Amino acid sequence: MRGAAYWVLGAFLAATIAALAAWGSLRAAEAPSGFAAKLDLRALESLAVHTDGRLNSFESFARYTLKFVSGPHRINGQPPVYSYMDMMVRPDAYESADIVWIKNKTMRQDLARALTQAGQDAAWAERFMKTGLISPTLLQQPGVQAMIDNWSRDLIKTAKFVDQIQGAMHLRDPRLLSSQLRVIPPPPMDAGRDRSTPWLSPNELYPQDATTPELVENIPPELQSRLRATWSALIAAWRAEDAPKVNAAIAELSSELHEVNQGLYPKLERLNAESTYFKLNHLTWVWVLYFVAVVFLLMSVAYKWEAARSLGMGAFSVAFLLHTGAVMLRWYVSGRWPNSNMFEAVTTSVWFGAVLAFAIEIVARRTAMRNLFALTAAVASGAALMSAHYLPQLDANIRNMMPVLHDIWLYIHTNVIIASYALIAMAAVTAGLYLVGRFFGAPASYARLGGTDAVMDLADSGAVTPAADGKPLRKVPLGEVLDGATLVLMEMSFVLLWAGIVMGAIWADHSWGRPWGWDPKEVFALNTFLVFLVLIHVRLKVRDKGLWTAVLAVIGCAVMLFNWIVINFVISGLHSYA
Amino acid sequence: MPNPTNTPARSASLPAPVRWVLDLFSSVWFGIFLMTVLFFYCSIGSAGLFYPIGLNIFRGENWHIEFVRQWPMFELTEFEWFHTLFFDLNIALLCLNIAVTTVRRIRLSWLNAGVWMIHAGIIILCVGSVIYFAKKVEGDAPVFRRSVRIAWTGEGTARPVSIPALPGNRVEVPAPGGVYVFEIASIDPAWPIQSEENKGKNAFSVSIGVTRPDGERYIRQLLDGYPQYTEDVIPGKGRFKKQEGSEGKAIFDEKIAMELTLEPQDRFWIKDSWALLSRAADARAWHERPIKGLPRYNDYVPDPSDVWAAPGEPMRVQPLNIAVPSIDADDPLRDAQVRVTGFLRYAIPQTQTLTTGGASLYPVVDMDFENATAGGQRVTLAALDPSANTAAQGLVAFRWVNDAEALTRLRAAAKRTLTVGIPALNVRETVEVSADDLKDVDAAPWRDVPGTEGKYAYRIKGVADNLAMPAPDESGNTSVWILMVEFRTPEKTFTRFVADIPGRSRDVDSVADQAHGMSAPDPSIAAEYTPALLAPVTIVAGPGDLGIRAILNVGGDVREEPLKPNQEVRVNEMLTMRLRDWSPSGRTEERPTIVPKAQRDADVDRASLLTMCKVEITRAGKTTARWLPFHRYAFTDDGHTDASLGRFMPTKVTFDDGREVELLFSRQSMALPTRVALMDFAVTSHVGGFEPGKMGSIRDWTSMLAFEDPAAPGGWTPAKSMSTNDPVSYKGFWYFQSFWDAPRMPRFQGDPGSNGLNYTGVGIGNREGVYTQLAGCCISVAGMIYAFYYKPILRRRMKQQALTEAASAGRLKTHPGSNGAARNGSGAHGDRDAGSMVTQDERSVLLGRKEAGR
Repeated sequence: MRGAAYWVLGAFLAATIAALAAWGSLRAAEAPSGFAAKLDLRALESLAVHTDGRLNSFESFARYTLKFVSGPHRINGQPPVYSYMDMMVRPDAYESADIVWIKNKTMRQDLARALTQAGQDAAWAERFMKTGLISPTLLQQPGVQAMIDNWSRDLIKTAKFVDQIQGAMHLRDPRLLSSQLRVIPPPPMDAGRDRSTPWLSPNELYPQDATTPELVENIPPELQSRLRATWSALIAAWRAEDAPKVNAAIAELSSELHEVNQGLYPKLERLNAESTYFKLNHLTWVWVLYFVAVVFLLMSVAYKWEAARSLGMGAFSVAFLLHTGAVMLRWYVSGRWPNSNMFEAVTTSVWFGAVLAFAIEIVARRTAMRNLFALTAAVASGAALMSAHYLPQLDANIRNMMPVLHDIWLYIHTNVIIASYALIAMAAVTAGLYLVGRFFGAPASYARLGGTDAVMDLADSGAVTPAADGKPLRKVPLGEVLDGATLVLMEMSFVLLWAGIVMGAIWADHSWGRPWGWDPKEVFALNTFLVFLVLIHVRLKVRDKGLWTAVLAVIGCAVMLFNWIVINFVISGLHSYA
Repeated sequence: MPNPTNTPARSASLPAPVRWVLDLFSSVWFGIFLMTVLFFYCSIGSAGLFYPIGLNIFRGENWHIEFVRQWPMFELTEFEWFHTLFFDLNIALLCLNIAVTTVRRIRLSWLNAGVWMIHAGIIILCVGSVIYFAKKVEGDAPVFRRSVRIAWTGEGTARPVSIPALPGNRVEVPAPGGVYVFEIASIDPAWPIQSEENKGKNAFSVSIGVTRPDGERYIRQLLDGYPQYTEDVIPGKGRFKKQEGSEGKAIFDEKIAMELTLEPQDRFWIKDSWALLSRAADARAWHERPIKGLPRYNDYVPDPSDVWAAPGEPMRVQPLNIAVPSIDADDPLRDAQVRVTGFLRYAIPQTQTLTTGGASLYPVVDMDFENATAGGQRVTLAALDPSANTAAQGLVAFRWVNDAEALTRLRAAAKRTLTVGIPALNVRETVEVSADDLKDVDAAPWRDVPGTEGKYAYRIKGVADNLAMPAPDESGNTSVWILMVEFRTPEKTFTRFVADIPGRSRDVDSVADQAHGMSAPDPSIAAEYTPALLAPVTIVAGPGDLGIRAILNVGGDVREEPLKPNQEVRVNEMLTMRLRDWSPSGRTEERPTIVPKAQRDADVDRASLLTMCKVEITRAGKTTARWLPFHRYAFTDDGHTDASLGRFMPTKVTFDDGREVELLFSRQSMALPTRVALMDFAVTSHVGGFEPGKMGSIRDWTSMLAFEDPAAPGGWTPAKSMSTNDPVSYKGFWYFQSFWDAPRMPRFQGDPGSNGLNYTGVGIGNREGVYTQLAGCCISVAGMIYAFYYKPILRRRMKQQALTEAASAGRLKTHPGSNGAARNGSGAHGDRDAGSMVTQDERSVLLGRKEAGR
């Protein structure tokens, strides 16, 4: 009973942290003050914008687009939709504003030095060094242009950063911003041809010459007129900072856009869900909750403190629920199971790990291994979600899948492989704990049998459910428990990894024309498997089985991570999308 | 998992050496050793030697990578690295080790069935792989959609010709009365048919521009599958059948018949192979010589004078000597010895200007510039070559003056001016064209011509300085300087390209005229353009005492500075320059330029297009050498090439006896079992349709392939659909959707661009042994599940059964398996083995059963 109370307390603690984080994310997404604060941006955010074969919410589209201008920073702390519209309608206001992000810190230093000499004050230089944001006006100064020209010649160190700067300068152009804002669906056509017909930007309602574009012509003239009038009213009211009129125009525009092609326009719920998903930072901050769970679960392992065990499981359960919510929300928003790019593979992989941890916890609930699997899943999920939260390389933007991924094997091969990766990471956690224990002088104990055997053996031992006299049937050393848990996880990952490699070969056979092509990703999946093959056979032969198992499980995890990080980011191969 | 060491080997009767070998191959440690070797071999071969050099390991530049297999001592592809003798031997020993260990040390029983299955599965997988990789053939080929067949309907006219339907393809056909020119003007892969009976359908449309010997031009549009809709269009007038006098006929020129025909592919090019092809200059078919042992990843320069080195990178001078023997009786070089002596992984042919070695007037200057912020730059300029006489976007120029008078004129040409006049109104004004005027020409304001009451106005639309002329004109001019000016008159608005050479100015009246070219200037408006010949830094040289100097046109001041070798001249506060060398008689020379590694395209396919090899042909005691550029596909002519498929640049060699032979460096090819044709090709898109350049909008590609089959109606099998993840199988080969003809914008003037979908890229390969591999994999997976998850349950059952039997036989003090003694009694722990849940008497029962089981 007391355990249940602690569980609830742990869950409550995690839920409170989650509520604060969600409130913070949503609050940060709101406009700070002034004209922007009076606008009903939610109506604007839930407009559908067509780009790159997908219908995005305006919120996610603006957020993604402006990353190419201001990097990870918000322009003037404004919501992305507001910044997008305002830059498009009132570009002059942004000429002297610090909106272009310079990523390279050495380039920042050089620019700060040169511009300080040219008259910029020290406070500006300090701010610039911190944020990397600079105004277009300063970037267009002749001296700065000369520096940029010079950087563009250094193809190894700086040319790509110059491309990024030039891309940002180009993208902030109001003409480009307005032409990319394709919010008008094509009108209904025969045989569903409207699905393969381009969407239009409001610009196209105002042809430059006498001829109206054919696609616009297909919209009923009366609706065309209303769209023009509403868009003009919106722009005029925005320029005049007349918030009520802007809100009225946005509402009217939203209604008219739906009217153009009700069948093609995405559901409002889906667009709202997409906006919310990104405003909530794709819930990758759940890593905090996982680490809260880790703290308690570690305490329960180290000190056998029952309250910590329950607190940890409560926190882990809430973290897992939110993690599940994030995966399901992304599934709903993207219209496909999220496993087809690096961000999705990482976050879904550890979700599989957490699901399997729960399943194993149920099986092993009467053994000394209980909660260890939750602990391993919490560590793996926490680390993975933290990476997804902080590393821009794991791009969270939702895009269409590459054509080659449209296959049933995406759901079989990829899920099996990423689940095995999660288990490998989890096995490394128990292996790591075992090594720490050994480092601090724990005896060289190990599980007498394999993983499944170990679970049954420990269940029989009464280590958790003791005999009637209240004493355990056998005092099970922690090393044996950790080694047993490593074996449970390692055996599952071993089977799944091999099965996943085989399934990948079947897919590759009909996709690329060969089941095996010695692609780096394939080779390092095989290498990971080889490490576990060695582990199984070394365990047969050595005396200190626990130590060798732990060392090789950690090496196996390192090879798996090498495959996922280095092979993906550094060596280009056929699997570069995941 | 069973412990093989627990089962003794039963080979005591064998001779000692045999026993040692058997013991070695049944050693688990030996297997572990082989797997460890395999791990390191795979790691090094695939990722190379890899270590971080920065903290953020998620950034590529923070890693150093050394691809060992690409080192000059190896030069192996991934496929080759994983098929070396070392690798094959490792796998063979591992299989032997698994087999011997399994047979000798793991008893075949229900308990051990899982391990047996895993080991058997892995051996079957290896056997399948031996079959697969030994017989593997893999390559690719483009399959083009259609050709245009052109025939004359009358007798005694030219022979029919055929040109592949690719934008810009062109053929000139001599015919009675003169030469006809046919050019693919445009292709629309999905032309919407407007005729009632087929309205709503799309067809592959090819428009061919025809220029007849009499200068008459028309465009014929062909729709694939709808020959009844073939019609001619007269430029500027529209469809012929809508014109007066056509009597409703769609065809303007009935003498010429055109149709779209299939363009089947009969071969494919093998992945990672090299070949030298040759043919007599007047022949079409190539004769192939495989090049064995040609490197792939490193440069092998026979001699430093063979190439231009990559700036700042060491040049690797190491000649090759690879004999390339003929294997074809019809090879035109059968009587010659052919060797490859050089190889460049990434190089482009480049002409460089040298200050030495010239025999005639060709002034060349070699300068160093040093900018305080932008660093140093070396500039070599040739005064008489308009493409090489300026640098830094025209900020630096090199001019040659014949005499002092020319030098004086040059000094005066510091500003760009435009003179506009209306002769009829006798008005005229000269204005300076500043840099500001050229900044935003799209928004340039109209300027009224004074004295015309606003009826005449003009605005600057652009500038094109120093355009090279194809050949010097009668006055010896090698370049022309042009200002683009838009004029508005009471009658019309038009653009004039105002040239500094008055006779070369031209008017462009309308869009229609652009297609036809330009017209002579309208005499009612006069315009003269004086370009600013003086760049901010102009190096001027002349014969004799004129020597070499710099005229600096900076900040509104014009000053002159003498130039002496290695003497610094300050241009302004930021910039200095220094003369390295100059000569009035320099020269140019073409060699391959090695592209610096940092500037190379990381895409392997695109990069391969810039590979070159040096071939030496020794014939009749004389050796001829050529650098040959790599061709991904050895087509017979340039009609099949485009930007993606690569160039077609055969190298012609003329021998002393007058024999002309063309050479091509490409890949080995293999004949397909039967020809394959592309019947239809479509790209399917996500919502919003396909957007060129945006891969995210593409859902899939579908190629409809047909195979030549004399027994089939029409000689072709019914079309089979090939798309991503959905290959077509035919006569032992699988055909995969590999690449495609993507739309592209025009890249230069005269480039028609392309709407794409004119060919599909087919990957072709066999796959013998795949099902054996698959069987091995499935058996091993089943074995793993059995060993890890069924075996523990089975063992429990067996244990329970043994203990139950023992209990019923009265050999156990406690009830088996229930731990009853421990739970019900006290002090029972002492009976138990410290490491397990088995009591001592249970253990003796189980051990007894185990012994009996043997």
